[in-house]
Amino acid sequence: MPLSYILGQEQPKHILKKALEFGSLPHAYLFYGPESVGKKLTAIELAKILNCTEKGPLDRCNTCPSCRKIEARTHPDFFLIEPEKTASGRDGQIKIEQIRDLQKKLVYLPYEGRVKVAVVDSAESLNLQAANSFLKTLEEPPSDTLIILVANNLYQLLPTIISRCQGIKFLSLRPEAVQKILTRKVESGDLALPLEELELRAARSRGRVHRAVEQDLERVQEYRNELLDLVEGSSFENMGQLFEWTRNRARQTEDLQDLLNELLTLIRDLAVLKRSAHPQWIFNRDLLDRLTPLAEQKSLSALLKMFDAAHRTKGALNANLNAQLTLDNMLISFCEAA
Amino acid sequence: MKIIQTHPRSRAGRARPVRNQTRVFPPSRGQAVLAGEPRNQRFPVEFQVSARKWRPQTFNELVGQEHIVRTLKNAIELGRVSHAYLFSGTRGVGKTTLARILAKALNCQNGPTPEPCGTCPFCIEIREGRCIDVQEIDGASNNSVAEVRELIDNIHYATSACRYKVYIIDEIHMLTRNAFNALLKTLEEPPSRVVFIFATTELNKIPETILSRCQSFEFKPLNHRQIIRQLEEICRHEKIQIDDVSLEEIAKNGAGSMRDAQSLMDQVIAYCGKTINSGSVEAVLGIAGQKALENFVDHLIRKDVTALVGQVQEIAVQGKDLHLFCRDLLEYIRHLTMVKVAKDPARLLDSHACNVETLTRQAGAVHLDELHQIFTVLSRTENEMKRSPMAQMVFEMTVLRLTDVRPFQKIDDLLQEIGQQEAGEFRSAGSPPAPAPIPGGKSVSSSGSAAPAPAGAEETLPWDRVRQEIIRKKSYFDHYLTTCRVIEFGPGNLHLAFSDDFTLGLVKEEKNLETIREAVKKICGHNVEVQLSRDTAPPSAGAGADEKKNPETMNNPPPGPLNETEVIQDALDIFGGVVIR
Repeated sequence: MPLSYILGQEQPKHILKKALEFGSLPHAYLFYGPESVGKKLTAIELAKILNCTEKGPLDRCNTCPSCRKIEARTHPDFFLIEPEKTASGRDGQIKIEQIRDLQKKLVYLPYEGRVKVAVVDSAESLNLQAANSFLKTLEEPPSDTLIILVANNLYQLLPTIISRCQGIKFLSLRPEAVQKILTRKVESGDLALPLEELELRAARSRGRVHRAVEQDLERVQEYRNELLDLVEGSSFENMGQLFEWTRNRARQTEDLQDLLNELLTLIRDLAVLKRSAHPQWIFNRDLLDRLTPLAEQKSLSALLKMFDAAHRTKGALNANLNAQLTLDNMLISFCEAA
Repeated sequence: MKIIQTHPRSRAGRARPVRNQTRVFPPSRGQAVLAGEPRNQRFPVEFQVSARKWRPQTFNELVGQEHIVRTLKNAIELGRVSHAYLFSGTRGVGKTTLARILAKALNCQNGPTPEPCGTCPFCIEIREGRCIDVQEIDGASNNSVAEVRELIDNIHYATSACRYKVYIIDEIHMLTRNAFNALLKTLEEPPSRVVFIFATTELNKIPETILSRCQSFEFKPLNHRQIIRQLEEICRHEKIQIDDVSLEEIAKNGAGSMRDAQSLMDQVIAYCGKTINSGSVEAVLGIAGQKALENFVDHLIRKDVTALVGQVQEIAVQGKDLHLFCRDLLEYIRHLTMVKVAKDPARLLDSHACNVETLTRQAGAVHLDELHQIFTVLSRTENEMKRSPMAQMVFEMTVLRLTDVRPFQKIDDLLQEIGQQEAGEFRSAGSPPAPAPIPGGKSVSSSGSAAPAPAGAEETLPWDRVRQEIIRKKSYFDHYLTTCRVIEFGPGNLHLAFSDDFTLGLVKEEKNLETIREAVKKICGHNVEVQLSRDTAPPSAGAGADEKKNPETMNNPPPGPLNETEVIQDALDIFGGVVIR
């Protein structure tokens, strides 16, 4: 079966299989959906399938020279465009030179494969010039070309780009699929994790593989109680403690986004509990004993305000604002809401 | 500029409906066909997406944009073709297509004609993108001044075979400032037989100096009906079964762009093959469908949070797009509002999918204010969701917020209520000490309590009611009327005195007088002559408004607040200086 290496993502797989079967591949695909759910992997699998010398163009063998070359990114007809890392290590942009270079290469007929496949990873990081200069190629590319754009957020792309591609939406993976992927990784030796932890990790991953791999379970446990204390204890009377907390937290900048994500989840759980008291829809089900009385205490409007404040803070931290000040600000909003 | 020439590769034996094969880059000469395999084994990428396959080739095939097509046809017929055109408009409405048709119309063997034949060598060359006199340039890739200079250098050479030399520059908005400026002189007075056609999605980025040298055409977004008609046409040719609701959904998600709609349809066809039903359209487009919306609004009206959160989760798990759900929900609320306010809602709805009965039932259960609030909250959320990586949670919180919505109480009503209550209190508590004795027995207190009016009037002339009526209509009167004094208020006559000229001048305006007259008429039921004057009496003489101190304290000012001269003196002491006036 083609694409069987990809776990989950039934609908995208179905569409691609049909397209391969009918020979109705368009010239440009746009794979979009949450990060780390297999978009880029699917794009690379598709490139292998189209160029495989043994089983292609309906399946791939992963052993022929073509498949191996694509895996090693050395295939002459396979192009992978990624944002260049900037000096500070952040993800940069895709520059117009990269696109011009790609356009020049795509003009030639395939060198050894059947179809030239160009994968543009993180298409939202195409800068304005690059995106615009890609438009004409994307609309009417040279023959025997398949362009695959991979993007996390559809709405960060130019509408003129979206309109020229056939979009395929990827969903968050189900926990079972995440668990299978983790197991496969552990078995193949890519990942060193105890097998019994995998289920919990998969359940907490919200469908994203990298979250499942990276998160530190013990610390998350710690966070959550700390955060609940924060929500519970926020009032103008103990500002001193709160500011103490922000000072400690602001130093560990790399954790902050995770921390805020947890905070948002907790507040969301509280709000849902407040309104319906139906534990089925709660993410942090294991903390229910603590959440229920807290939900009783807070008013819905206070929780909504807290959510807004935390959500704003998350955006502000992304925009590189001073961590301690933004967190202080958030806690002041919490106190106001309480 | 880099010249776009097509390299006519041999495509013998491949029957494909290629209509246009523009190459954006210089052809690969020599090196091109090095492929290791024989041609017939290569993967047949024969499929062409609908947007390319069905690109219109004549003016008549073009969908919409009648105003532009007509202008261009007439220009060709009358021999008044301009040397520069600028086509602007959103994506997928026909800019590049029309540019190519115009190039054909100008260069067709049968003379410049509004009906290019499509069979003469020139038409074919242009269609396949290999005519050397019609150059299609990607303005975004070739955007620097060096490339524009190259173009200007080459522009003076005569055409090779065609009648006109046509330069189609697409995505022109990406040219740099210098490149635009380098183009100006040539664009104003190009050599004869040169036609520029610019196409862009962002008109605002084009300098005015360029705009003034071109004939500019703005392309309108296509409406649903035009898109549906074209999609039907395509389905008929491709022998695809599709129902009206599906077509409508696809057209709606195209958002005014034919290419978007055609891409979506390709996607749907890729998913379900030759027979398309609305269920699979919903699956592919990630929309939740009308039934889900109806249920959701039902839950919302019942404020059933468990069901609402459950439904949001369900939508997310099924792989439906919550952004689109939010968008559709907005539209649904709009329909509800229409049903609620309009006499003939069916005409305004214009959609197969809507169930007017359900809408009417639901509209009956909600207040109009609630609908407005829901709409406002949702439209803000829709924007926020686009930016947020946690769209689902943002939407859930919004749903919780929506369950908190209740109808507004009008501020006017509240004010009136408060006013009435206050008036009631004054009447009961404050009547004994009410008005100070009035000199000359003329003036009526403008404060809350109704003072006995001069002889001849009805028992109590309800000045305060008149005042409230005025304020209800024009809230800015509040201030004027607290500073004025009623000298006389009888049947047929109202005399107001103001403490300063400025306010007097403001109230003197005819429309303000009219407001007062109307209010009196409404409350007392008769017309009244309004008389205004400057209040010359010293403040101590008047009974004064309720804020004013009683006469004794006014005559002997309390030690607390300083009077004006003292303040000025203090200021002089601190800052120095002279008093000019």
